[in-house]
Amino acid sequence: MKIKIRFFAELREIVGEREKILAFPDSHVNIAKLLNFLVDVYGEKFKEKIFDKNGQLFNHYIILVNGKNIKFLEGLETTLKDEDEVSIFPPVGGG
Amino acid sequence: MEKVKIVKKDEVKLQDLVDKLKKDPKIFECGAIACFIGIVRGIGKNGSKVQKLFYEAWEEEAIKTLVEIRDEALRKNKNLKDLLVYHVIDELKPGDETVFIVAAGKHRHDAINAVVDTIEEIKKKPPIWKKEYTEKGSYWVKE
Repeated sequence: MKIKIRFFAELREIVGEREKILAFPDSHVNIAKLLNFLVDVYGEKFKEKIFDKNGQLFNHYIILVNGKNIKFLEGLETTLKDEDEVSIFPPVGGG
Repeated sequence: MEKVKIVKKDEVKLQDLVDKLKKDPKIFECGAIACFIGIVRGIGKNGSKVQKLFYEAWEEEAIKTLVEIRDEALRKNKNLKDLLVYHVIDELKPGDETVFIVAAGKHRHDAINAVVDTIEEIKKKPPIWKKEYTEKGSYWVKE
């Protein structure tokens, strides 16, 4: 299963790329599993940005799956399927 | 004329936007044009001098969101006759223009309130980020 992930701002700096395509052999991947995988790959710097000290996703981070906010799907339990696009937004700052 | 656009530094001037707005026939119903220009502040959020401000955007989605903000403003108030939103995405220096909002309304409150409401929405919604580089270090600005 292949998932495209988009990174922005501070996460883009940590990852070093605007987007990546990740391949998972397991077809049962949800957002929580994806984030934990990213933490394993990118380490503490990545973890500190998105998770608070209790391991909860910061409220000000927005995660979209195919353009839909996971808050309106199943949150961190949102299941991903082949060719899904996940965008991880740090707090925005337009204007 | 595009009502919503992402532009580079110095690509657009306020007077050009006002002139274009005034060419639209709807202007005959209007008694006021209100404008907002965001500029790069010379003192950063950490209290030290700003060297540059770097904007990043998911442009395709940012434009969609800016269009939604504009559409909602026009839907909410039928006395608001036109609204232009141009956001700069570039590397900028203190004093450089960051965003232009120009509103034409039947009455002054229609135009002024639209400008205020629009910049508040732009601060919260579009996928646009900015990084402040100062004498004491750099950081992504959280609104």
